[in-house]
Amino acid sequence: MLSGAALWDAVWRRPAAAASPAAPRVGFIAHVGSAQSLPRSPAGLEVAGYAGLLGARAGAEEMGTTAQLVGREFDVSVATATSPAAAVRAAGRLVAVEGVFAIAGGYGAETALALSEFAERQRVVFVNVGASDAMYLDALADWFTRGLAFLVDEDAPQGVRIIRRAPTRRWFLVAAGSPIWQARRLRAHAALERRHWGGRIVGDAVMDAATGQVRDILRAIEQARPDLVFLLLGPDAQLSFMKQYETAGLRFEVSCFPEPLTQTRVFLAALLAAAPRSAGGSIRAVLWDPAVRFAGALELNSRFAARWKHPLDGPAWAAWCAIKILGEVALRAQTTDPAQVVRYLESDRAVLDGHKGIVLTFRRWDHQLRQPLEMVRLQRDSGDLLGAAEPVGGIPNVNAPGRDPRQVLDQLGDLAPESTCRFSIT
Amino acid sequence: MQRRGLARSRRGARFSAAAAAVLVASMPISAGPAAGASGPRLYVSNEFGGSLTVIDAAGGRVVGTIPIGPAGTARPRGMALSPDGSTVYVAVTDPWPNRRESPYKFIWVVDAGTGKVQAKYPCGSDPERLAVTPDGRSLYCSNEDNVTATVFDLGTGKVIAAIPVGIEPEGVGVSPDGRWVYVTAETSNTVTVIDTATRRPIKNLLVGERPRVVVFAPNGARAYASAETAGTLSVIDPARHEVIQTIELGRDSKPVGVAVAPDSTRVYVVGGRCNCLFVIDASRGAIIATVTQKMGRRPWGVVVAPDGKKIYTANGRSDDVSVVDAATLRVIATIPAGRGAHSVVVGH
Repeated sequence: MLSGAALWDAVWRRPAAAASPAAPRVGFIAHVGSAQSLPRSPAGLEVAGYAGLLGARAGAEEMGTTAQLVGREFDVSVATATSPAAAVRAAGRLVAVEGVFAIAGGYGAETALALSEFAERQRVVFVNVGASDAMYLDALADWFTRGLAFLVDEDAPQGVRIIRRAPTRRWFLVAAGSPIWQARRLRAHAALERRHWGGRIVGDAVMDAATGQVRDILRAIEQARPDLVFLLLGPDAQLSFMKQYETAGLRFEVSCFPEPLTQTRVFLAALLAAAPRSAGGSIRAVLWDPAVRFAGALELNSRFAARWKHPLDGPAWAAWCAIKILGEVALRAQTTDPAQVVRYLESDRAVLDGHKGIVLTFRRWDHQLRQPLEMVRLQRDSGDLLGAAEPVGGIPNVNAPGRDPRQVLDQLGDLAPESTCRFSIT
Repeated sequence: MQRRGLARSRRGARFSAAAAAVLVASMPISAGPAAGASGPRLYVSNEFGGSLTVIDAAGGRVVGTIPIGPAGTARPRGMALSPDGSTVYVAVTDPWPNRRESPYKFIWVVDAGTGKVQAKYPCGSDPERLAVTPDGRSLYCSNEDNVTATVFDLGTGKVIAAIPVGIEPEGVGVSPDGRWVYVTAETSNTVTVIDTATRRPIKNLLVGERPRVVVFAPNGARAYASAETAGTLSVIDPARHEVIQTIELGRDSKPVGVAVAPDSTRVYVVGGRCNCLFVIDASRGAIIATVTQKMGRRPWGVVVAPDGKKIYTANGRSDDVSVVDAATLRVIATIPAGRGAHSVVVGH
């Protein structure tokens, strides 16, 4: 069990007080092996899982400390699992033995689906921080509708257009053939049309996962001459594509759908190693970047890096923020009833601070966390993980005065009429 | 995990415990305040300009610039004046919170008359804001990178205590009788109450999300803490150390600076995102006006003139100071400052 009181005890110099059995407690299921260390493969889901584990630990320390500061308790229990079945078993233990009122985790679509179904059976809150497959599964499997989620969506390429401050009107999509990536591809089409950003799709190809060959796709890209090639590919496929793209000598800018793993500094460094010319200078959307400096981000990033010897990348931030949000519920709403937790989080009373310079809230119609995306530019010859990318802005602009933060952030994601979510809390 | 956290904290504690004033006998000043200015002076910290701007409040003109360090590297932020107005204390940091060795990360002690730097006091690796007790004997500063507030004996310049507070401490306010010091913490969303007699924390209050500045009313009856993310102002009863009211300023307001009129009847709060000045009736805890016309961009600092007739805001994106007439509640002048105007204090 992870004690959330470590920071408090370190500073106040008294023995760690174990949280009482009655303490509000949440569970975090980390997608890591028993060694709980950074894996060697940059494309393994454990890279995101490890970052998430550190983020959850940071959140546990900070919220445990905060709770004790005001005479309350809050604790986080951590379990590890690398398969959907193991995640469900771990969740079962967390609920039965530790008495958690919420579970965060869900790395990979299958695990997120399994945990979501478990959460519905057991009447606990599930917060998905590891699988950005919500919309697809809303439509086809209805699993994600049983929990709260952190938004990463197909509007990401618009950020590239904005940050470049140059015309990005011609898009070429390269998607994997699996149903989930094809669903994302359709959403990317819809996002482009719905938002009226002036872009159009001039090419749309499917990458054969079996062969990994993209010769025909590269030829099509060359003929289409797009402003941006947008990859809807998993981590391995991205690396493979980029290597071949580099070899072919094409110069069109490439960006990608920001899956959690592909937001990590470890993956970005691997991408730069695989295709230094093509990846260097390209712009990507991430939930969070360890070099962001505004609105308390500098302090958070510095604190995290010093404490955990790891950059606070997208997955680490998502886990930290999820624990912080659940801790805030325990402190301010003072309830662990799942329905009341969700109602509180989606009410006007919930003010969630993710160090992003704008208040974060949950949408009532699809239960997604409203939040801006950070945009980063990949850096060649960076020398270290932190230098592999630099922040170059964010979408939407959170500094523009005069509008309700919810309206600002609803520029990303589905609006209520478009939502297919059927989750209800009763 | 606990052992690692403990080791880090102890290193910080040793650093603080061993701290002593670093005397700077002959710090070169390229452009101190001009002689001959009369009336109260305003001191504006320019976070990205690496300097302080000195303004003759009566004349509404800049009378000097006190350099702190290179623009973009030396970041002067929170300030406080000695009770007699002779000394300006400035919390200075740099862009690298994790670097402990820095020529800038100190509380800088500046002679208000000459602009000369008299000493530098260490306050951890990221000092942000500070307050001086009414008797002028002690200075409390927040170390944003740690979970402590450091206390200095201003007679000796020595650290006399490091007090645990909330996570990412920021605002520091001292009660008019010097009995209590309140310290906000941006991540834990708390205000820590410190008993200055024992120099120990006695209570922590949960306030709005991302609390920034906390100040006491001159009559000591209330304290006020802004919450930037929540867009609120928490009203605290210092007799009980309890939040008795939360005033909604709007989710898009991003309030930071707070100042109270000399007669304690009004509270002024600046909103960094709405580019506005909220005027609050202290007796009712209600907003009575919101000044927006001609306001500078991203006002963060605010101070009231000793006679209560003018309010000054430090505006970080327009690099200037807005002067607001307290009677008409209109912006009556704009005075240029340096890059990233952060805080403003008024002297004698």
